[in-house]
Amino acid sequence: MSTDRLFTPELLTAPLQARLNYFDNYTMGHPYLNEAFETLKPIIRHCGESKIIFIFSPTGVGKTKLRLLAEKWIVQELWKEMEVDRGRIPFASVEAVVQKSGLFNAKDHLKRCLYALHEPKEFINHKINYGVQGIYSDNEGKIVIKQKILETDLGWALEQSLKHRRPQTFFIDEAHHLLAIASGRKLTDVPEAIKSLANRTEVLHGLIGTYELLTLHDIGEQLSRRSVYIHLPRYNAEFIEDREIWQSVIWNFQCQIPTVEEPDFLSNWNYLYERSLGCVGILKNWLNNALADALAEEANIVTISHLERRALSVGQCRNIFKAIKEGEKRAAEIEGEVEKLRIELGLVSQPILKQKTAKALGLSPEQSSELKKRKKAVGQRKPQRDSVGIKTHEL
Amino acid sequence: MNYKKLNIYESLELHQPKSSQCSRLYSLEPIGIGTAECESLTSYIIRLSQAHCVTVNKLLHPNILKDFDRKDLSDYSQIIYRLLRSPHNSKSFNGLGLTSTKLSQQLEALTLRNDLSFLTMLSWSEITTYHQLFRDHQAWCPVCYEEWQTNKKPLYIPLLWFLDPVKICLHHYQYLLEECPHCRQTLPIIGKQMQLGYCSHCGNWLGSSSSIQTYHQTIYKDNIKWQEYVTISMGELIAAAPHLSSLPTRDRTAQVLNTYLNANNITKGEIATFTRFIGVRSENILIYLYNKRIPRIDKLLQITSAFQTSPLKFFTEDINTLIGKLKVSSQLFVKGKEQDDKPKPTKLDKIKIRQVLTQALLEEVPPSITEVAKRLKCSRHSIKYYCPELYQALKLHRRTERLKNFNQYSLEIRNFLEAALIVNPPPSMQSLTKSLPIKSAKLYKLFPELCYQISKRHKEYRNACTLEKRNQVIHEMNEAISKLHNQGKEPTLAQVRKLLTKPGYTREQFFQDALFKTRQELGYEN
Repeated sequence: MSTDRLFTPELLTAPLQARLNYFDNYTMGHPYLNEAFETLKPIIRHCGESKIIFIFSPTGVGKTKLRLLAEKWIVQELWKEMEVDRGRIPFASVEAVVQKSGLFNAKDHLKRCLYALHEPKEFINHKINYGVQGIYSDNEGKIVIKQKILETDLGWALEQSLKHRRPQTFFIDEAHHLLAIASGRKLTDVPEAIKSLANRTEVLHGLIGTYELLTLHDIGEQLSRRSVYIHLPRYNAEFIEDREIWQSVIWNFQCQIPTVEEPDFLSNWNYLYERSLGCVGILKNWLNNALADALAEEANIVTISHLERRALSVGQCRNIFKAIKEGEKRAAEIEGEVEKLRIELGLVSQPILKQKTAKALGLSPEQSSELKKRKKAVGQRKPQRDSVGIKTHEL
Repeated sequence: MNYKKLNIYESLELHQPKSSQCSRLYSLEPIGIGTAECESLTSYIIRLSQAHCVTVNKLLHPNILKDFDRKDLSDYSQIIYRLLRSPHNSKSFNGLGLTSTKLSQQLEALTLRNDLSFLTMLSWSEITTYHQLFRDHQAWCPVCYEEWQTNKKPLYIPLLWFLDPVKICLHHYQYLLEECPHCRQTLPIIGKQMQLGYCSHCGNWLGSSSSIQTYHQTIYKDNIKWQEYVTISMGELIAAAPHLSSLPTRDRTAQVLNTYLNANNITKGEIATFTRFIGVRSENILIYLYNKRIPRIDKLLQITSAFQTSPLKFFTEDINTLIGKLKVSSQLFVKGKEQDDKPKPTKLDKIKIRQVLTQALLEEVPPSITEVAKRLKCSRHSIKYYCPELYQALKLHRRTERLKNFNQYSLEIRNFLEAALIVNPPPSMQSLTKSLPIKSAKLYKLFPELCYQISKRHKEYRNACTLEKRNQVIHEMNEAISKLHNQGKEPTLAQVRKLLTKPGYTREQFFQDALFKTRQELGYEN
């Protein structure tokens, strides 16, 4: 299917790096991304009591792109306020990092948060806790300041920083890394701390991560009660609508590839689906690599061989797909819980009058309430059990 | 394959729009700007350091200022270094000079605010001098602290509490405290680390609910009006600073005084009476009139209170309107003229001076001229003027008597010093002069050789003592080293330190040299 190319013809005469950069910087506003963004907007604008948003999706669907979109939108929204209050920042973003040990380090994370909140790095290693025990006097009456910087001091500093910088939203990207903790510690420790921090500072926290984040929904009652969940799914080939959108996505990419001739990705849409599992981010990265190879070879078109060379292996795809399936199942359970809850609460069945239940037992409403009460003491015989009067054969 | 349902999706632009850079430090809102309870700059700095959870000296560290050129930076770091090292000099933080200008400018650049200069007295730098305007330590009202703490309001130190003329809190009618009720020490204005509302020496709470009862003084009734006037006036000045259309100029006091004198037809000859009415010395008033100097804060308040106006009106109102209002109080001035019944100084009696001087000459220990002047209640110049012969005779007589006494006295001192050359342990010159009613400089002038000998002997004795102590310490160190060496441990400085009775000596160079030498002998040093 031929169409007009979606870039300026001058780009074809530009240097290779410029053409690569063009495609690399291209972000497509595909339907699921737009849908998630539209869901996110009103929550950011007014979050009410829910101070935590969980944004979860499979790997390579566009979580970070969604975050960047939200950040840009917040800056545009708060433009005027920022001009008045120069100490305020519109948003802050930090990435949760797993250390070399394979574990998440809370102290390191707090330092990163402070840095993300524009705290001068000269201060970060010299934090003291004025709130509790930052300064005290020793036996000789000398003022002592704790030199050793503790996690609690950094936590206190982060709370102060959020209160003063007042970002509209504080994003924690790759938030599933928060769960990579040593055995012996509660899984919910760090997320619970984030929840209480969000409540104390009244700053909306956006936790962005893979389906692993849903573990918190299963175990943290307190955490899930006041949270909003936003699901950014992949395109599922089981559904007709998703297949159609997927073809449109491929076609859009095809029109944006800055090669001399337009490549034909559309006829290979199922192959492209097979090795990207319906994740737009994985597809984009794949096409980017294939384009780089084609341009390096000075080819006029990105062919199927370029794509095959840079595709994910079947093993990799299987591993990713396994995690996706598990995650999607859990996400479906969460979405299905609503109906389950409605059934348990009796909202699905027709309501009946309270008095009918009492009449069915032939009791007044007052008596019906006393049904369960014991009338006699233990061991006291029922009068009807023993016969009374003179028996006839005795007369 | 049918692709009829293909859609073009929007291409998204994710680059952030260029927004204004946020402030490097939090843009903390100052408390009470435009009111008499306006916060001081030092209090703002302490609150800012608390917000950032760092100490004051970390907050004011020059490294924070990256956008300033080198010259400004070095100036700034010098100022901060000097002021934080000597907290009692830090009164200039809230002052009206270059320090507060620079500091408020730097902080404004860091917090992107434009109102921090109002937390100092910079707006009024042209109307009064720095002298006696500020306290060199903190003063506070404990009841105010307690109220803020109870109502969960932020603790801060108003600029008013730093001004030296202000002695009372108008809200609770009690004197401001100037020393900690727990440790009885005065608190520096700003230090390397501080917490508002708490003593920087003992760390105790300074509010009225602290365990120790704060020393509560009732204000004397005769003093209360003046204190009220001073506090209200200074509060008005602080409150008006942000609303000034133009800052008062240096010659304003001279302008007002000259206009007033002209309007009331007071000639320069009547200045003395005029100054008596104001209560300021006439020479001071003349200096102000000729615009040679601006008045000190206490003189300024005296002048404005005599005119029954506030300093704010005195400096900001239109001169003609102000003078019109001052005419009311010029009646007072007229009254002052009428009531001017102070006894004029009478001429001295020449005969009386003669009598007193003759008596003084006959005394066994002749008195000095100053003493005679005190007896006569006149100046020395008057005695010389009226009786020059007797004046000279008394002077000569006194000198000969003193010389006689001195020769006898110097013999006693010589004997005393010679005895000191034999005494063991050899005394220092300092200890000897303490027991004599004479200064050491004078002693050196009279008996230089003796003094130098005593001093040298004492120095040698001190050196011998030091050497002995060092030998003892080295002996102890050697014992400790051999003990550690025999245990198979390396005699490091830290290990040796644990075994010494006086570990402070390990910082001395001689100790470290000796340790190195012994370690070398034992083969620990390459």
